[in-house]
Amino acid sequence: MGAPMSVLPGLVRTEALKLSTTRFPVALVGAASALTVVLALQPVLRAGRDGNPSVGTVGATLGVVDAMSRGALAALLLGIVVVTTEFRHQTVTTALLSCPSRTAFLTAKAITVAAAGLGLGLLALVLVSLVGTVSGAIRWRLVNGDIVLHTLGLLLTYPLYALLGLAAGTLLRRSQPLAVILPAVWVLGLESLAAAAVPTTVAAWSIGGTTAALQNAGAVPGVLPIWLGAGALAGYSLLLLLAGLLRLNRSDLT
Amino acid sequence: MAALAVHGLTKRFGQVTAVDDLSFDVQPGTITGFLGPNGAGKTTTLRVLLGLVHPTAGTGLVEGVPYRQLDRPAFRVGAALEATGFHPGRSARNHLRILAHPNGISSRRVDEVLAEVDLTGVARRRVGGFSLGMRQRLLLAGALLGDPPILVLDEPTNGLDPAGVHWLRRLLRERVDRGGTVLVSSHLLAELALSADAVVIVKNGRLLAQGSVEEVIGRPGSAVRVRTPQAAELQQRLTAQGVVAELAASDEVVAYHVTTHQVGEAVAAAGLVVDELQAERHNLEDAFLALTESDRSRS
Amino acid sequence: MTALVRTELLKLLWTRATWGFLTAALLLVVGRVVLLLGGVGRVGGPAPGSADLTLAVLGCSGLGIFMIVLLGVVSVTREFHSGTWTSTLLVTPDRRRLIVAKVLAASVTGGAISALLLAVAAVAGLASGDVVFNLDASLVRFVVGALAAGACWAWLGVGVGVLVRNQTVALLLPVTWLLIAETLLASFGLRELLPWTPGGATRAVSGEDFPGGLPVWAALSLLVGYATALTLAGARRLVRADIS
Repeated sequence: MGAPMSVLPGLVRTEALKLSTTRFPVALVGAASALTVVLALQPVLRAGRDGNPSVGTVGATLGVVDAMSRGALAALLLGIVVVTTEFRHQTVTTALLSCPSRTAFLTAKAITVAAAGLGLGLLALVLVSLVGTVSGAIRWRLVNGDIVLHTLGLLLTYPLYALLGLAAGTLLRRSQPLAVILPAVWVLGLESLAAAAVPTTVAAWSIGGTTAALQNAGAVPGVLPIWLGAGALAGYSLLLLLAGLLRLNRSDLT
Repeated sequence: MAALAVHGLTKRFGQVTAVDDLSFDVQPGTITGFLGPNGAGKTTTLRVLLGLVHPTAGTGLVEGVPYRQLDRPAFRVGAALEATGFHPGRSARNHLRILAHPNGISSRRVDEVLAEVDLTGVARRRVGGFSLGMRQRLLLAGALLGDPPILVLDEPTNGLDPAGVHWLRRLLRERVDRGGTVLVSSHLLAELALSADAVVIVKNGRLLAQGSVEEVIGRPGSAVRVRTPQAAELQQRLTAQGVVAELAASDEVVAYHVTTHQVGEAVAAAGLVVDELQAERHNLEDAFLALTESDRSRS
Repeated sequence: MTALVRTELLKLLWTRATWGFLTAALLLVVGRVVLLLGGVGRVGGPAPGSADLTLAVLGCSGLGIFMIVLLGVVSVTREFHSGTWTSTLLVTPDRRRLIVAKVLAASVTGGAISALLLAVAAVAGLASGDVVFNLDASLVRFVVGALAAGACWAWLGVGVGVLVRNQTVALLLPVTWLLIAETLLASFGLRELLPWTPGGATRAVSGEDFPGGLPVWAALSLLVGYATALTLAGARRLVRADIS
C-alpha cells in the first residue's frame, strides 16, 4: 500500500491539471459566483422594508452571509462531474493504465475536489463580504463568535458537498444524467419532502438536516450540534466513497 | 522470461465465456500478432494483461508480475487500446500532459512524442475536432510517452492512411530491433504477415495456434501458378516429372514444391504459351481462415 | 409526419430514462399526496370533502412537471450525448420536421404522464375517503389545464434541449430555474413578474387564483409562447449546425 500512496502528490497535481484544462469548472465557478452575488444582494435590496432587517444590523449581516449557502450546490456538482466525465469519455482507462492503483486514483480525486470545494467556498465568502461591506449591510463590529462559527459552518459545507458529489458520481457513474440530476434534485427538494414524512429526530440526520446543523451552530432546536452535523456529513461522504471505491476496485473496465 | 505471459486465463461475463483456459507467451525482442475472429476474446485478454479486467481464473503477467504490481508501469508497458477515449474539450497536448504528469514525465517529452506521431501542428487543438486517424496517433503517442520496452496495441492501424500504416510498421520494427517487444492485435493479416515474427491465434476464447509466422502458415510457400491455354498439357508434363501439379481451372495449373525456374524450364521444353507465371506464397490469411473455419466445422 | 412522431414516441418508450423519470414523478406525487392526506382534519389542515382538498390533492400531480420537463430535455440531448444524431439525421435529413416530431412526441408523452399522475392522485384521494369529486366546471378546467401544462412543459424541455445541446447543462437549467430562479424573483420584490414566468403561468393554467394571475387562455398561450420561442431559437442553430 506504500507505493500507491507515494504517488498521491503527483496524482493530485494531475487532477488539478485535469480541472484546469476543460471549460466546465470555469463555467461552474462563474455560475456559482453569480448566484452568490445575486443572493447576497437580496437582503440588501429588501433592507428596511416589510419588516426586513435594516442595513448594518446583525440580521442584515446574517442575511448577506447566508447567501453562501446555495453555492455549495456548485461544489456538489463539481464533485459529481469530476468523476462522471472520466467514465463518460472513457478517459478512466488511460488514467488507470498510467497509474493502476484505483484507490490512489479516487483518493487523489477526493483531495482535489475537497480543495476545489473549499476554494469555491472561500470565493463565495469573499464575494459576500464585498457585497456586504460595500452596501453597508455588514457591520463588522457586530460580528461576534456566533456569526463567525456560523460562517465557518457555511464555508465547510462546500468541501463536504464536493466530497458528497464525488461519492455520488462514483456510484452512479454509468448514467451521467442520473448522476447529475439525482443529487441536485435530492438536495434541492426531494429530501425535504422525504424528511417531512419521518420524525424530526431522524430528519435531523438527513443531508439537509446535517447541513443545517453545520450552518446554524446548533442555534435551532431539533438540529444537531455543529460538530455532529459536520461529522455526519463527512461520514456519509466517506461511506459512499468507500462503497464507490469497492465497486471500482472490483469492476472490469471493458 | 517472457515479456508478456498468459497462463490458464479464463474470463466469464455472466453466462458468456469470453476467454477459456488461454495460455501463451510473448518473447522479448519480437513483434507478436494476436489474431482471431471478432468476439474471440482478444480485447478481453489484452485488458486482463493491463489490469483493467479481473480474470475469473488464471493470470496475465507483464515481465512476470501482474500489471497492477508494476512500479511505474508507463515505463515498462505502453498500451493503445480501442475505444479508449479523450475528453473532447481538451487539447491533444493537455491530454498527453495529463497522462505524463503522474509519472513525472516532462512536457518536453510530451512535445517529443507529439512530433514522433506528427501531431505537433494540432497539438493545441481540441481533440473533439480530430479525425479518427489523428485520434489513433494520439493514442499511440500516449503509449510511447514513457518510452516503454513493451507495447500492447489493439488495432493500431485503425484510421491510419497508408503512409501512417507504413510509418507504424517502421516504428515497431525499430523498437523491436532495439530489444523491445510488441503485442499487436489486428485484423489486417497482410500487414501483420509483413511485420510479425510470431502469431497467436484465438477463437471463442481458446488458443488455436501459436508460433512463428512460418510455422503457423504450414506449407512452406513454394507453389507456382501458371496461366496457359495449354494447361492440361503442362499439368501432365509436370506430373510426369514427379511434380505435384493440379489443374486449378481450364487454363490454370498450380504446381507445388517447385521453383518458378523449374516450371519455366518445363514450359520452355514443351514450347508452351504462357500468359502468366507466378510464385504463389501461402499466406497468413489463408492459414488463418483455414484454422478458424475448421474450428467452426469441428465445434 | 405520423411515422416520424411514432418513431420518436418509440424512442422515448425504449429509453430507460423515460421510465426513470416516470417512476420519480410517481414517487414524488404519491409522497406529496400521502403527506397532504395525513394532514386532513387536523388543525390548520384542509377539511375533508372540501373542494379545496380535492383540488389540492389533484394539484400534487404538479410535482411531476419537474420530471416531465427533464424528459423533454433528455429526448433531445440524449441523441447528442450518445452520438445517435448522425444516424437519426441520415434517416430524416429535414431537421425542422425532426424537431417538430420530437415536440409532438414529447408533448403527447407529457400529457399522458400528467394524466397518469392525476389518476394516481385521484385514486389515492378516493382511497382515503376524505376526498370527494364533484364533476363541476372548476374540476374540469383543472384537469384540462393540468394535461395542457404537462404537454407544454415537455415541449419546453425539448426547446431547452434543442437550444442547449450539452446534456449536463440542459438538464440543470430547468431544475435551477424552477427551484431557484423563480423563488428568487419573489424575494427580489419582482412579484409582479411572477404570473408571467413559466411556473406562474402554469399555476394560472390550472385555474389557481392568485394576485395578478392571468386568465387561463392567456397563461396557456404564454406557456406555448415560451416553448415556441425556445424551440425556434434552438432550431435555427441546429438547422445550420454541422454535425461532425
